[in-house]
Amino acid sequence: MRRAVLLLTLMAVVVIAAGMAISASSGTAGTTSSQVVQAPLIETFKLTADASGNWRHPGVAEDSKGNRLVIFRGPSGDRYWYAYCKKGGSWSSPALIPNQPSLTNSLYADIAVDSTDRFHCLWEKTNEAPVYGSFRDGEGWSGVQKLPLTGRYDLVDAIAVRSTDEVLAVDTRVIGSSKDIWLHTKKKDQAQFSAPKNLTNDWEGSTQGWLAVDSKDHIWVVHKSDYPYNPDPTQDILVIYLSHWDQNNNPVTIDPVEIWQFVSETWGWSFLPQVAVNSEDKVMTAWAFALGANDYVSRLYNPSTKTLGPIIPVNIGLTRNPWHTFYLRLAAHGKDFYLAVIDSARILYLYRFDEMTSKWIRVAQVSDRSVEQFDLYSGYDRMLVAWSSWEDPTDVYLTAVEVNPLIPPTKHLTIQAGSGGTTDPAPGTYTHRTGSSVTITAIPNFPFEFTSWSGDVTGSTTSITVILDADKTVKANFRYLIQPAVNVTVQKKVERGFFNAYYFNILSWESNPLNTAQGVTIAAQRIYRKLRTEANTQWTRIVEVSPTTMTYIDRNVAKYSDYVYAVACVDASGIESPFY
Amino acid sequence: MKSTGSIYLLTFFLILGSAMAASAQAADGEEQVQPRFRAGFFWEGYQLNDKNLTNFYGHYQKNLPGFEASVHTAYNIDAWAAYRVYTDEAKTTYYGLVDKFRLNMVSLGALYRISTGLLEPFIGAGFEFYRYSEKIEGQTDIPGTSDIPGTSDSAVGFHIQFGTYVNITKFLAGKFFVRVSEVNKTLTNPLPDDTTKLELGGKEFGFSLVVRF
Repeated sequence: MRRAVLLLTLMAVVVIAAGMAISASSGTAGTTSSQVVQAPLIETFKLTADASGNWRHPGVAEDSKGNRLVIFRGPSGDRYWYAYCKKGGSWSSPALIPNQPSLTNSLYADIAVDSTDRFHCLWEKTNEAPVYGSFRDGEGWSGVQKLPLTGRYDLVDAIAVRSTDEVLAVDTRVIGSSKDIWLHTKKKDQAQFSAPKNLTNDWEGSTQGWLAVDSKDHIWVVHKSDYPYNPDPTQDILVIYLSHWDQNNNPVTIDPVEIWQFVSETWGWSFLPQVAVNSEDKVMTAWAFALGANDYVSRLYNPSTKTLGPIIPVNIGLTRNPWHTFYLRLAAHGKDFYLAVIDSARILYLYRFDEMTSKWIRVAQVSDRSVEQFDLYSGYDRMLVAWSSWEDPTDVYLTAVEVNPLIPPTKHLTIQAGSGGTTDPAPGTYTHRTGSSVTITAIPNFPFEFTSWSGDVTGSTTSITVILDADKTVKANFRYLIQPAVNVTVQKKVERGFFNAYYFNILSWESNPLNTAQGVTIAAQRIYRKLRTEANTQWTRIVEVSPTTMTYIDRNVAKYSDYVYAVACVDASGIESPFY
Repeated sequence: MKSTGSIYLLTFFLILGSAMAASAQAADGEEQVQPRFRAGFFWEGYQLNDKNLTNFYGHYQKNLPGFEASVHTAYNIDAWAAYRVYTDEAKTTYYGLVDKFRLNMVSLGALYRISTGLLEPFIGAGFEFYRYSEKIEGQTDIPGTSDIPGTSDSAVGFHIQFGTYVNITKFLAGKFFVRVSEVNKTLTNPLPDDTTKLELGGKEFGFSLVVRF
């Protein structure tokens, strides 16, 4: 009896502790740990604008400063709303994203963040073009627009950003019976998206594209496709493809890699393939399938060895359920991969891939209730999962699961310019991806010259490339470049008797007021000469005169020759001015 | 034009004088004993042919003294010689230093002289021996600016002349003459204007006071 009481007491403590952890609201980050095994901290906010009931299809992201943005389908379902939380602050009241075209029934949101901490958001609805909008702390929303293609669109869209801050989006367009994955691009400072590129021209039946960007700004795209050359119409053959595109969006491999093929005598669907690239540029793919084993599976591709690993099941223990059970999101966090999936009871879980054992390990139970839709984002030290409730579709939750802190995904590059010049990019503080390289060019103003770089880099070449493996400060140093004398005039003269003559040129010049203004001490002046018809490489120094001399007679001239002269100034350190 | 007119006028008077002397000798009808030697000083106008030179020094004509002497040989022929010096001066083009030109002229020739009493017209021809030089004098305050080199050289040519003696007394005579000379020199070093030809000859006209003995 006493043993039974002790056992019940112990169970009660465990249940209460777990319940307290799950029900904590508006929590902040707790104690850090190198590996999270305890229940996650959960912060929750609830829509107050509408209680009519709508699936929210949220998207979430965090910028390098820890500010978080959640977007979700609004009360009427035709537009997206957003809520924003500055790091350490509280969530804003949900509000409509301004200047937004109506999509009637918006779905599937995704958010990417660029190096300037701008959130790039994408959402769409079946049969219409996706809507894009960007948000930045302190600036609000801008550039809300429909992507340029018209036509019927299939579900699922994804957005990513290159290190150049070029925005990439993939979507599925349906034309007749043909479905293709299209890539939309918008370079930094470009207001509109360029004309999209069809990534799957040759593979009919391509849908549900997803993309990720590696450290070389290459794109990895997964999509599912009906087998293009299926000889047996009684069978349904579905294929998951992984394709690789370079920084100019050209294919790296001529054919995509077929990473999975599924043959069924019945209809197969809902594969929702995902792709993520980790800090080692390894490519993880994951997808769900509804028939047969009923599970989420993944496959790792290593581009450096060009090896495709085995298919790894998540083993969440799914049972046969409605199609919307099968929903997943994959994200890379440093060199780790995380997978958010829901089980047969629609409870949301977070898994981490253990490369040593090639197994997915459950990290946390994210939701304490059944989940309708969700999005996963890799924050600095949290995996962020925004999700909406199945039972109470008016609520949107954000769950932050503590994980190993990242090497900050971005580094700050502070560029300074000393007196006498500027830089390209202009002096200021910039945020770039960790490990990215930035080329800085020193641009001296006249009459200064670039001398060296200082700070976290050294060198004297005009352009220098900085690898941002840490926050760095770079300063371009300039010095006044001593200037040549001005207003050099030449009088051609001849001293003639009757039988003989000699020819000479009388030079006169003025001191350069720029030198005077800079307080430069002129140590000497050097007179250079060349024939007018000669190239600038032919200048010859003919004499060095004192700094106070302002005239010179050049007697060593040939009859009928036309000379040009320049007077270079030399400072106390022996540096000579340019003179032509 | 002015100098050309003077030559014509002088020639006219020489011809007129010769005619008058011939007519006077014919009227006297007496025979006179001719002195063998003649020496005298003359004053002449010299017009150099070289336009470059006259333009540079600025004088078209220079008047200059000279010395001449002759000796009678035979058949009314005298051996004749003369010496005179032509000088001119200018300033260099930039520094204005003094540029002195000097031309020493020696003439050797023969005269064919007709003795008609009061007048003794003559014609003659011979050689010219010239020595010319240029010298720059002075210094500027800029080192190395006065080193235009001096020049000296010689030239040889020929002349023709005509005129008349006018016998004043037995031992004294006047003389009017016109002489044309051609003395050319090809220069090894061209002039500053690239000319290589130097024409030192010219036209001389003047008168002498001659002692006969």
